[in-house]
Formats: sequence, structure tokens, C-alpha cells
Amino acid sequence: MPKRTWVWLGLFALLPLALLLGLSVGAVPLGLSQVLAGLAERAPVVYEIRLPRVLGAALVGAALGLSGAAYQGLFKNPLADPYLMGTASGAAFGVAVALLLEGDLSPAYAHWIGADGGLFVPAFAFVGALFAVTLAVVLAGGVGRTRELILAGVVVGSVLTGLTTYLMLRDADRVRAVFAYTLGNLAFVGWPEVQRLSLYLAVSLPVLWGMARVLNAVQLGEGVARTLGLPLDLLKFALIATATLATAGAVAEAGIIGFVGLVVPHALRRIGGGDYRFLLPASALGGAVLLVLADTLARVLVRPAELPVGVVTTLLGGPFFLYLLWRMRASG
Amino acid sequence: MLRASGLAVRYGRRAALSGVDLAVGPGEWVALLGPNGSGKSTLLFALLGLVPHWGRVELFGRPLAAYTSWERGRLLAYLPQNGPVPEGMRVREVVALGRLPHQGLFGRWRGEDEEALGFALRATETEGLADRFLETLSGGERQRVALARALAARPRFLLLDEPTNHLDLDHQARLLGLLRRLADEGVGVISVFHDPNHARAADRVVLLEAGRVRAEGPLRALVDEILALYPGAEAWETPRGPVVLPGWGRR
Repeated sequence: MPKRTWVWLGLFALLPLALLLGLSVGAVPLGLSQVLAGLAERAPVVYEIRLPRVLGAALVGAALGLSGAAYQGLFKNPLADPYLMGTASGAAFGVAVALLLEGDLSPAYAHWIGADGGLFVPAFAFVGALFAVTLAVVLAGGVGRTRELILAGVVVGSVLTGLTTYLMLRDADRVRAVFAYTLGNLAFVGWPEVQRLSLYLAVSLPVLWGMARVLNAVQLGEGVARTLGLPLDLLKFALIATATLATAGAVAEAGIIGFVGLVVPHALRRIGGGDYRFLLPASALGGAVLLVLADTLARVLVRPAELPVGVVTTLLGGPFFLYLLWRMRASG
Repeated sequence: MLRASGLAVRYGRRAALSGVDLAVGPGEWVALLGPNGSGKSTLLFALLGLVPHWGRVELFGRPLAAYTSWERGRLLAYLPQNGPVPEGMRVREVVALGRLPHQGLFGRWRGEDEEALGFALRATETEGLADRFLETLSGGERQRVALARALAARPRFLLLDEPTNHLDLDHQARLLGLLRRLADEGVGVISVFHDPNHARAADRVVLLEAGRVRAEGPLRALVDEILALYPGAEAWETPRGPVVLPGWGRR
């Protein structure tokens, strides 16, 4: 059986297992039968708290894996990640501005942590992320030149990070709120967040998957891709817009979660090859599995407290890259 | 007929091409020669519509810009110089991308696509490599795969930027033979060469100097022009015609 088939079988088997594990782990550990009974009876702990959280983790992970793969393909760079174009710093800036506008911080913080599923802060994060990418594209003079796009993304990212820091420094509460956001957290994901995340993914997954051939052709160089008949400027714009939608949605609902969008496509490319017809959907599925597992770890590592899931993915991502480095050195 | 007239390209302030006329018919093989920076690759870019340019480019009597990008992709195929090596892609997948202009974004893989793929692999002798990953191939094998990708479109014109790059002598000979056969079968071929001797099998040589056409004609007739353009080269008369070789300062 070809390797890619094994990867698919593995991922499809792992996702439900990871989801079940995520449902059973928590302040009150539940057995499999209790989880299933809880789902059937819509018991509050399982159905209102844990289920949206694990589904949210899967959706955010899928969005990050998918957009990471798309960006790596578009920029022909295996080290590109979903935040390359400035989405993360744009979203953090949006959050800082949102908290500034709310003025009275303590209620704002309460609002942000979103027990009521408030839209105010996620909306600002979403708009901030879109704003950063748009600014980067404008500064780069359009989507035509890839290197300029990366540079513009870096410039926009650092300027917005500077502005965010300035806004944060204006008072300590704000530092805490924005900093918590930049660490990434799935603790406040409820059903409304899951609905919004599903919508983003329902748009971005089919659109990006449909453009897999474009990404394959771009790997031969943009000149060749154009001579193969592709209206490349239009397609690159569509790719960036769609990948940005997925990333901005994920960042708006769950904060900045690092390494998923970088590691998952990278690892799957090593196992199953670089054909984007495989890599895009597989990265979405792999990102979902990884983030559900990481979030489960985040909930148990320092029990009874929780770690922000961004801390867990970063701690997992570092050693993974060390392993890659070691492999590269070993193979000369 | 692929015809360019009054073609000019500027990179910033530098004129890369000025006032170039070129016409290549079906079944004709034109070799572009000229020193580094004389505009050979830029001429290919302009003929493919890859760089902004002044002047006219016409394909079968219609301006190139009047064709859709897909139509252009079916008629003209391009082999770049030193294209990137995509990571984790198999030879078959890469060559199949050559069918993109026929398939479009959402078309299915059909029998004629499979036939063209087989033709391209056979012509470049890469069938045995079809399931290998590109990064595991030698430079010469990659070059043949890149050519197979260009052939897979079954184009009317082939535009090749240094197709003999990375090939050993035997494979250079096979490649030149393949281009001759394709031209004899009716494909128009425009190929850039560094080594003037590779233009032997072509019908006509166009010699570029600083973005202009310096001379045009069969290789035999251009030996003196070539020697004037490449001061370090020397010509040897052999029983099978003149050969141009690099000297080492004794001319």
C-alpha cells in the first residue's frame, strides 16, 4: 500500500481517538462509557464544556495546518508558517486596540475571556489580522513578487508588535490580557466559537484544496507556472486571501498558537511527499489531531491549573526541530 | 509562426533587449547564442509574455496578448535555466504538471494526458525514473525530467534555456538528436546555448550582443562573428566542419 494511504488511515484513526481522550480528561476524569453517556444525554460537563473545546481545538488546528501548508507551498519555503504575513501581530494589535476602546479594563477582561461568547475582542483580532496582511500586500506592491511579500510581512509584523507593546505598557491589566492572548488559549471556546470556526474552515478547506495543482505548479518556479497557463497573480491573491481567512479566524478565536502550522505540513511532507493534493487536506487533519492532543496535555500537565496551549505546542515544536536538525546532520 | 518585431525590454534603466526581430516557423530550430548578459534568456521571457516589453509578439498571426493564458500554455512550452527542485515530488507528478494547460484547474486526467505523459517520459528516457523523488536524481536526470515536463504539453513551440546544462556528452548528443527529431516532426524550437557547438544541429543561429541581433544564419557562416564576440575562443577546422573551443591565451 502506498505511504500516503497509510498516512490517511493513521490520521483518520487518530482523530476520533484524540477527541475521545480530550473528552475524558479534565478536572473530573471520565471513563469512555461516561463520555459516551454524557454525549448522549447532553450532560453539561461533556456537552457544554469539553465537547466545544475539543472540537474548537480540532478546527483551530486544522485551520493552522491547512494555511501553514498553503503558505509553505506559495512561498516555496518549508519554514513558512501561517503567521508569516503578519496575521499574528495584526491580531494581537487588534486585541490591544479592543481593550483600549473598552476603557474600563476589568469588565473588558471579563468580556474578553468570553464566558458570554462575546464577539467584541475576536472581531478586533480578526480585523487586525486581515488589516496586517492587506497592509503587507499593499506595501509589497501586489502579490506578484514573493520575496517582497515576505519582507513586507516581516516589516508589518514588527511595527504592529511595537505598537502593541506600546499600548500594553499603558497599564498592567492590559499587559496581562494581551499577553495571555498572545500565548494562545482554547479554554474559552464554546459553541458560538465552534460555529464560527467551522464556517471559516468550510470556506477555506475546499478553496485551498481546489488550488492544490496551482501550488504544485508553483514549485517548478513562478515563470514555469505562468507558462503552464495559470493566471498566477489572481490565483496567488486568492490563495493568500483564503489562507489568511483561515488563520485570522483561528487566531481570533484561540489566540496565537505557534508551531502547529509549521511542524505539521513539514512532517507530513517528509512522510508522504510534497504533492499538495495530499499535503493540504492531510495537514488540516494532522493539525487537528496535534492540537487536540496538545490541548489535552495543556489541561493535565499542571493540574489543577492549566497551561495555555500555545506554551505546549511551542515546547513540543522546539524538540521536533532539534530532531530534524539532528536528522539533517546525520544524513550529511 | 512565432514572430517578434521591434522587441525591447528594460530592467530598470538597463536595456536588456532593443529592437530585436525574430521569426520561427513550425518545424524550424533556431539557436540563440551570445555572451553572458546579451539578452538570450530575456528574449525567451519576452516571447513567453513573462516580462513587460515593447514591440510586437505574434503567434500564428495573432498578438500573443490576444490568447488566454491557457491557450498560450498549450502552444508554447518553456524549460527554464536552473529551475527549482520541488521537495517530495515524484518524477511522474512533475511531468504530469505539463498537462495543466490542457486540463485547466479542475479538469480530470484523461487518456490523452496519459499518452502525452508516456511520450514525454519515453522521449527523454526517464520512464525508469517515473516513481523516483526528484531530490534523489542527479543533475542530468533532473534536467531530462524538466524537459519531459515541457514536452508533456505537446506544444507547437518549445522555448529552452540552456537545455544541455548538467548533461554529460552522451546525453547532450541524445538531447540534440531529440530536438532535431521534434523539429522535423513540425515543432518550432528556440534554444539558448552557451556552447556554440551545440547549435550545429539547428537550422539557424541568431547571435545576440548587448540586447541586439548581431548576426543571423547557419552556424558555419557565423564562425568569424562568434570569434569576434567571444575573444577567448578559437576555431578549429575539422573534417565535419568548424568547432569553436575555449583557448587559453595563445591566440
